[in-house]
Amino acid sequence: MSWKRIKTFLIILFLLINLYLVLSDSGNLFGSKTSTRIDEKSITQTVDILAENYNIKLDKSIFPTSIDNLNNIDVTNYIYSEEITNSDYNISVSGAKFSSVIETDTYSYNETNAKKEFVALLSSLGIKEGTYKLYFYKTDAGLACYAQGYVDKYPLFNSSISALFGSRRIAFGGQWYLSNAENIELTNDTIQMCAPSSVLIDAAERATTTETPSNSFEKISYGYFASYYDEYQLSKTASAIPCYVIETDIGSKYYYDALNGNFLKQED
Amino acid sequence: MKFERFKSILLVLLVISSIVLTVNKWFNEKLWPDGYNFFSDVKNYFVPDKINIYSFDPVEAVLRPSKIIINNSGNHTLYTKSSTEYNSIFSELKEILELAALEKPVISDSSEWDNCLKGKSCYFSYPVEYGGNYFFTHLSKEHQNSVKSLQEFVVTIDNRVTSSVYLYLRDTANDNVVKYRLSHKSDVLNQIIEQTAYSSDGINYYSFELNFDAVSDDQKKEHIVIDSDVLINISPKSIASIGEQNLFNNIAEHPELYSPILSEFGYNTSAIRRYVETDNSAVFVENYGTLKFHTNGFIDYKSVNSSNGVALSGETIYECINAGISFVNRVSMMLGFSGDMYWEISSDIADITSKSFKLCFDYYINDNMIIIPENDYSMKHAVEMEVSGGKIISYKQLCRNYYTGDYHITCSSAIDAIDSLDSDDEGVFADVISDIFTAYTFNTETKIWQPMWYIENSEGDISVISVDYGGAGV
Repeated sequence: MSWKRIKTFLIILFLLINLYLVLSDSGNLFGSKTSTRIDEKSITQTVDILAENYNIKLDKSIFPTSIDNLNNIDVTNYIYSEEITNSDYNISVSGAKFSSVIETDTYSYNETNAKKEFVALLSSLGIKEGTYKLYFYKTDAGLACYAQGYVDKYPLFNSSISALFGSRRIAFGGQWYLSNAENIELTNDTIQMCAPSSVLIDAAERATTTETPSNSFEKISYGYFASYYDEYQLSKTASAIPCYVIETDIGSKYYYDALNGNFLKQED
Repeated sequence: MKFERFKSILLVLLVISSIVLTVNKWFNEKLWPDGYNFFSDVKNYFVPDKINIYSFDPVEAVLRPSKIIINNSGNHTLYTKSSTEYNSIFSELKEILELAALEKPVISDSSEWDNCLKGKSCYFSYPVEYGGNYFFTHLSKEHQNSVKSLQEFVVTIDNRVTSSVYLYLRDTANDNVVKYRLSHKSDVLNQIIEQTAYSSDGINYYSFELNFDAVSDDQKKEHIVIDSDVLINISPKSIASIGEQNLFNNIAEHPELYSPILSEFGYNTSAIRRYVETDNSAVFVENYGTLKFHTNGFIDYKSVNSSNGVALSGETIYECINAGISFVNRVSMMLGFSGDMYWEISSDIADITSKSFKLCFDYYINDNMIIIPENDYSMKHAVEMEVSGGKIISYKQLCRNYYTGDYHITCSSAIDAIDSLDSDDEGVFADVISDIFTAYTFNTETKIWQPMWYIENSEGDISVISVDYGGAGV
């Protein structure tokens, strides 16, 4: 074999080696660490474990395959904000929650006029459009709505205001956090999130050992959760941490710290 | 031919590229945790640990005596760290100590010690007891120390033998006095002593010269008893006033103040959680601990448990203690204290026998300690650090700045302060007084920091002396 042929062979070989090294380390090499990937095998294994060990069904399609690596952000507790102090409404505060009832000129509410007035109300409370999404539903007492807080495209799960629309009145209340961060910038310096698999296993353990066990997980959400360092003491600001929320078929919700997989709370 | 040359160059580049990519992959710390991989160890060998280089050595500063007293046949002149002559005198004493570290002493006694103080000598003492091994290791790793714990020294010269000096030290563990004969020319020390005699103002006396060091139990019952080596001045003192400044006003809005301190405590800014309390104190929480910046001016760090915390470097207990002192110094340097302030260690090091210990420091200004209002901060000392297994598990530091004011306060003499002591009082007065000193104390009625006389007993407890402190001067 001539040296020329050997060289050609070696060039092809090292080209393939370089290609392999670049592709397998592409995350580190190009500094693309803004998201945590979950591979197909891991998803399948998790679904199987849930089904076999806990009898919990989980549709693979709701399992996220990529999680943005988010930093913690500071949020201000609304009850300590200037907005509530400057508000024209008579707002009562209990713990971290606030509530009030206002009189309106509208005798009968539908989704259209309720939305218009509720948006105006939130605006007068200093809560800007774009920082929430509205969801309407019917109750025995009438039309209701809740505003789910958002930071950029990520829900802030424990930031919401509910409203009940009656004849010439709106009763509203909730727990709200204000954030200065309008856009969340994903950077390479962020720590990788823990994959949902570990929290799903823990959630399955909790969901199947209650009085009313769940049979399936219906939704896996990812966003923020405003946390306090001392559950008995409110502070002016809280730290919104990346969070998973696992929702079951019976309406239970399990909240987990997405950084380390620690259980945060449960809602039934 | 050109094509072949091109192929050769391409091959070389591909080989280099694959080596670089492979090395990058191997040394990626997420794949290979430190200490568990040959390649990580090799990398760490060639990349040295971050070394903090100080033009000021915090450990060296802590190991300087708080008092140097030059004795010349009945004249006693006190030098403290703020004295201009202090550095030159200590430089000579340090040489003598370094020689002593390599020698073995002989047994001496208290009478010889007292005779030295009466003659031409230099007495120096430290604010706390040091373990003998810890103290001498700082001077020489090959020391011959046999003393368990120490706090006071006397250096004396013999005019007949100018090639030698004598160092005495008192072993506080058993009260024995030991003596070193050292080959060291005494001319420098002699010159210091002679020159000091000219500047002596005759206002200082040792307790034994005033007969305050009673020896019998009956005498102890009737009189206040003061250790024989305690220097007592007989003239009123004029002490500068001081002002105070809270360094943590609105701390939550000053990341330039708290961020470096967070880094020093090893906080990862990516995963940190920040909370602002209703009083505007800022709290930072990470997995292993909580660091709170109180808006009234102090830091409070607590780790989650004793197995977590801020790791101090150092293989040995000696190195661990020094790392603790250096840590305190680094944090203090970030706080922006005035140039008049310094800090001294207030906890004995003699009892430290493991990597679990407590270190305390106090602030000084104009050579006077600042007494922390304990009720305001739940602290007795300006800095309190608890270490467990080589990790800081608790850290508190007062973050208030003190600066020299623009007037002076006249303080009565030590003699007058002692006279006002009632020997019938129980408690600290019933014990032998091991020190008497002035310290700044906050007067809650007048809202000023006032210098007051304090006494300290053999257990290290201090107590204020109630006496008329006179008024402010100019």
